[in-house]
Amino acid sequence: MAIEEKIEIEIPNDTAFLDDIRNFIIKAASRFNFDQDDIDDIEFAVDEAVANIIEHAYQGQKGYIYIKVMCNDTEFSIRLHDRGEKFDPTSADMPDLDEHHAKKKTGGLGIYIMRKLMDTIEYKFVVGEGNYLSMVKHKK
Amino acid sequence: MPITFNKSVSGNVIVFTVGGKIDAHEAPKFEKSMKDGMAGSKNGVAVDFTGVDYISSAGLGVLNAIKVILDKEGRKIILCGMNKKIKKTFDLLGFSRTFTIVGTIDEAKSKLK
Repeated sequence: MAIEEKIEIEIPNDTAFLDDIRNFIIKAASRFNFDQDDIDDIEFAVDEAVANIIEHAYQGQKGYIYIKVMCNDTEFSIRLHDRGEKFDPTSADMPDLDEHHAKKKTGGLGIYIMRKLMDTIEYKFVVGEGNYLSMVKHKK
Repeated sequence: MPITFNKSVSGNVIVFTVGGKIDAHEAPKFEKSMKDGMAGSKNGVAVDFTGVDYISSAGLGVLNAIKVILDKEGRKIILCGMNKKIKKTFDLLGFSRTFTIVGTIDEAKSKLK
């Protein structure tokens, strides 16, 4: 199906902008009548992905995150691009929740959330350009 | 939007009432407020999530860190007042199994007495 809507924004790599990103995502998914559970899932997965980029890819350095959303009646697709250090969240093992809680860990669940809540996750690193993380959620 | 955080004491229970969105930006404030609010006490802790409409893994990580401290001190923590969205997050990430979660603040206080 043809892409019905494409929106691109760029934001500084600062956690202060996470709230704005979530609101942007919610509005985009709502316009295409995704149900509340789907919208909650997309909001959560994108928030975690962006927080990971801020923490791991930029590691305190100044930079921007370029967000491209493509929506149609059947799927919500988002691409996150940053020019930070190479960081592939898809390369990590899927966390074991029992082990996570047994060891009383305080972090490391971002990739679990992205994989559980989105239907597809793809990563690529382009020399001279940086990290590209794409995620897709199909409408129920 | 910054989170709201209030502390009160009811009998031998410390009650934290939280509001807003506990994301990676707000989690440090959430952690400091919790740690400051429970320091120097032997009382159990009830956290009322009635006003919370979003929590990320960073916020949940704070709860794990707080629970480690309270466990070492032999103190209990009970969570309450979660809406459907927040409870769904706790269920997804296994936190419903590791924390005691009840419906209302009165139930939480009653269990901690």
